[in-house]
Amino acid sequence: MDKIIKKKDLDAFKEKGNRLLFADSVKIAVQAGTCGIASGAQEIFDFLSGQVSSGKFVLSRTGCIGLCKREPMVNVSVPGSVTVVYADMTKKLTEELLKSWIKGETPVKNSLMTLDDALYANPLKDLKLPSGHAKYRDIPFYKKQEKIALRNSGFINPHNLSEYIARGGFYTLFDVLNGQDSDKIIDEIETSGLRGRGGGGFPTGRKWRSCRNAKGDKKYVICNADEGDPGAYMDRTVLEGDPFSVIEGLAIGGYAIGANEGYVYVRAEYPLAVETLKQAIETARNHGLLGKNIFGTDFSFDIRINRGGGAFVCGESTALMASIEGNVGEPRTKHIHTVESGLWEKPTTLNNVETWANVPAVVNMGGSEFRKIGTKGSAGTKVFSVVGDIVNSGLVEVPMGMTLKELVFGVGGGIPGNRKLKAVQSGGPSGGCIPADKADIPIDFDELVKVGSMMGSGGLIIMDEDTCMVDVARYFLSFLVDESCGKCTPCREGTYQLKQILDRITRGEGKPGDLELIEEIAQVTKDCSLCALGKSAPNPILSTLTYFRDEYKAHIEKKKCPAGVCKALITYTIIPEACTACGKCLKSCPASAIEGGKKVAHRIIPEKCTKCGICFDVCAFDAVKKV
Amino acid sequence: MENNDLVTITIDDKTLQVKNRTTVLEAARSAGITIPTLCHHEAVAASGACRICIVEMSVEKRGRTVSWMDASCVYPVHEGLVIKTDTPKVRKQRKLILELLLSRAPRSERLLELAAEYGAETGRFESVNQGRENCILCGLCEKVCKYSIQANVISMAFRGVKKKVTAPFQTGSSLCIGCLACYNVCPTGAIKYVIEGNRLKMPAWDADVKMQKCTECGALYAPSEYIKELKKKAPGLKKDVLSKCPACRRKIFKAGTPA
Repeated sequence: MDKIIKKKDLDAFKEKGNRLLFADSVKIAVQAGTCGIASGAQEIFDFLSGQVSSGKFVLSRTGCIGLCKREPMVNVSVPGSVTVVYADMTKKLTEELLKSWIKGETPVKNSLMTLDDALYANPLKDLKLPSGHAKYRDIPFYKKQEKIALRNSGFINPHNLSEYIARGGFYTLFDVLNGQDSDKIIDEIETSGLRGRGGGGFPTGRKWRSCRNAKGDKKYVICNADEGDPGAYMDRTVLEGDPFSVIEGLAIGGYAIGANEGYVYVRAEYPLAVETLKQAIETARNHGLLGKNIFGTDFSFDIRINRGGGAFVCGESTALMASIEGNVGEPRTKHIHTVESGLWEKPTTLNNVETWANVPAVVNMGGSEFRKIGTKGSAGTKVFSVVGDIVNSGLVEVPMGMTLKELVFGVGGGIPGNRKLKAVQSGGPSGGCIPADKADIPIDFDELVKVGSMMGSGGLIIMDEDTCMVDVARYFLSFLVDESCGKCTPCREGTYQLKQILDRITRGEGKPGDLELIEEIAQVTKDCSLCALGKSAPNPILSTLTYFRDEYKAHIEKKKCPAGVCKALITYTIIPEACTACGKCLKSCPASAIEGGKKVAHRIIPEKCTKCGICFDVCAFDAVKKV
Repeated sequence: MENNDLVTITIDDKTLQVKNRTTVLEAARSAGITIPTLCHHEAVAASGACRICIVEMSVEKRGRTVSWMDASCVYPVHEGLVIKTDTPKVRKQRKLILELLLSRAPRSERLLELAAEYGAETGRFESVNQGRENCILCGLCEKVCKYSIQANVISMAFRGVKKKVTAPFQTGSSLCIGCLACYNVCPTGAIKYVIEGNRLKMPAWDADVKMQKCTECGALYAPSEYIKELKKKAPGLKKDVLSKCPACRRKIFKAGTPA
């Protein structure tokens, strides 16, 4: 296979890549990340595979472009025209539209937007904007996004090295290895103000410098892809959509700190990400971009993949390293930092996928340019997976400093059904709930901490007014009770006892003094736990107690769940005057707990009712009340 | 700074100089200050698991005092560190940690002793494991078996509250040599053994090993497999020393006629 050694080799790949990206033929690329496949992209891809032998179009695949709510999506390019993204696709629609596509037409039906030069300019020639289609920046979801970590996802074929090189990939590594000393790279990262995107927000440059200065001839770089927060999938999308960016980032980091070996610790629950990355590493190796003497220089570097076995705590750096070493994935105290003594007690630099994907972009644009984006303390952009009660659920990348409100209502399109925003949970299970009246804070590592939450890795769960905050705290705590490794007492026993108390409260068995007891345990768990999992585990309770204390009190004192979520504290009744005796609830009730007949108002038999809420959902006359 | 350099620290208002990166626990003990421990044992590396040895620490940073809690058994001292081992906050947090541990091991004598000292109450929290085993999952038995004896018989399985010490696949282990190191390091008396006939049995991991007879007096004095291991590990020992019970050994040595 062609080795890439000199710049002209890169140029040749670039040209090839551009010809693939901006084809002179009809090209259809199915967005087939895990999210796309889950909504049916594979069926569309398989259908198109069956048609491709006609020779009338070229078939490719790409990652997710972010608006997961509208998947499956298909990118269609016809000669001379800018790529069009089609959303909410089905096999049937594809079959129908394919007839036009192969004729070089791009109908507006199901079109979402064009991938115009606001996003990707064709370097080969000018392309026409097909008429009638929305432009990329016309879409409110994309209007204020700025893509750095997600710069290629949803556009290039993640398996194709030339497409990555066509987007400027590996040129940065080439420049770095040919003539820049490692100190200068670290200077650049320090100047950029890049902070770790995995949760802690530690300054990346400072981490690299400590590791570079640490004693030891053998050093390691690690990419943490053990993304475990419920509802978060930023890293998965990067690995599935743009694996080479992580490889290039790791190689640059390896060169900067003096490491020749890198590990990617990726959870086994991400089979597509593992497969995509595995192929990308092999491809890079085959072309000499990993292995001995990269670009003909003295620098050798290679990457191994380690699959995690599904423990949330293995996202903690020392537990992750223990797991790579073949030991039980439990954290150890970090008083001697991992940059001094990490994997196999060697100096180790660990960053997460998003941070590594940022690295080539930061070095390429220069630290001071990067720093211009975002806020003073938090430079650059941040990828968020926005899920829950939100219109545009999906993956967004926005400049730091955007307010939460703007993110929820501007980018996210607001709350469905005209309901009110109640809170935003940021920072994963160990983060906190930010109430709606604090939603005008800017997205910034330090600002989020001030309101009792944290940036975390980027999971944002949007909650509307029908959410019970006690139940939310209980949910996150249950997650942490299951995921606590059990090594230290406060986390193992403390979170468990906290959950037992919350369980009682949501069952209507709360007692006076429960809130004080919760605060007492929470304080010890926070102060005395061994690792960050335990130290941050009480955050969901503490933040909801701060902002929604009345809701806790209603559960304990009045035995009521104001949001109508906690089953033990609600009852369903049918208002006879409003009931039209249509029989819909009666037929739908899985517990046969509704009686009544034709023209006889229905009634719920309390002893039989399981409070599943189906009657409430199906009643078209608002006759079912939840009290 | 190298590890042999001395740093100045303050513990409970005593100022002292200790080697850099000594643990706070070691430093306190050298100053005659007692800090309670459960999961700490000289035989194995400190793990900071039980957290009973937490202390309050502070440093001056840019004109401000920054303070925090941490486990003294693993925290390495550094220049200017101020440590308080017995403040109301420390006592309050140790009390809660003890109460949490008591929910799992309500009958452990050592825990009850500490509970009396810190005013910890039993039964404040829901019982875990129905308090059956008195094990507080400190990990000493696992570590001593793995690193000191190198027998690797037991380890932790599962995680969180469901965690337990067990032999592989929760079945009996044929690897146990009956050395009783685990029994000896256990701080809560959770590990039990019995001698039935000429067998030593440890019900927790279904170990069942043969006891050796003293060649002098015929008393059962140690498990045979354990003696074999000792022979391998200390090849210089005279054969007769290991084949006799401690009492007979002493008699022979006293008589000045070692075999």
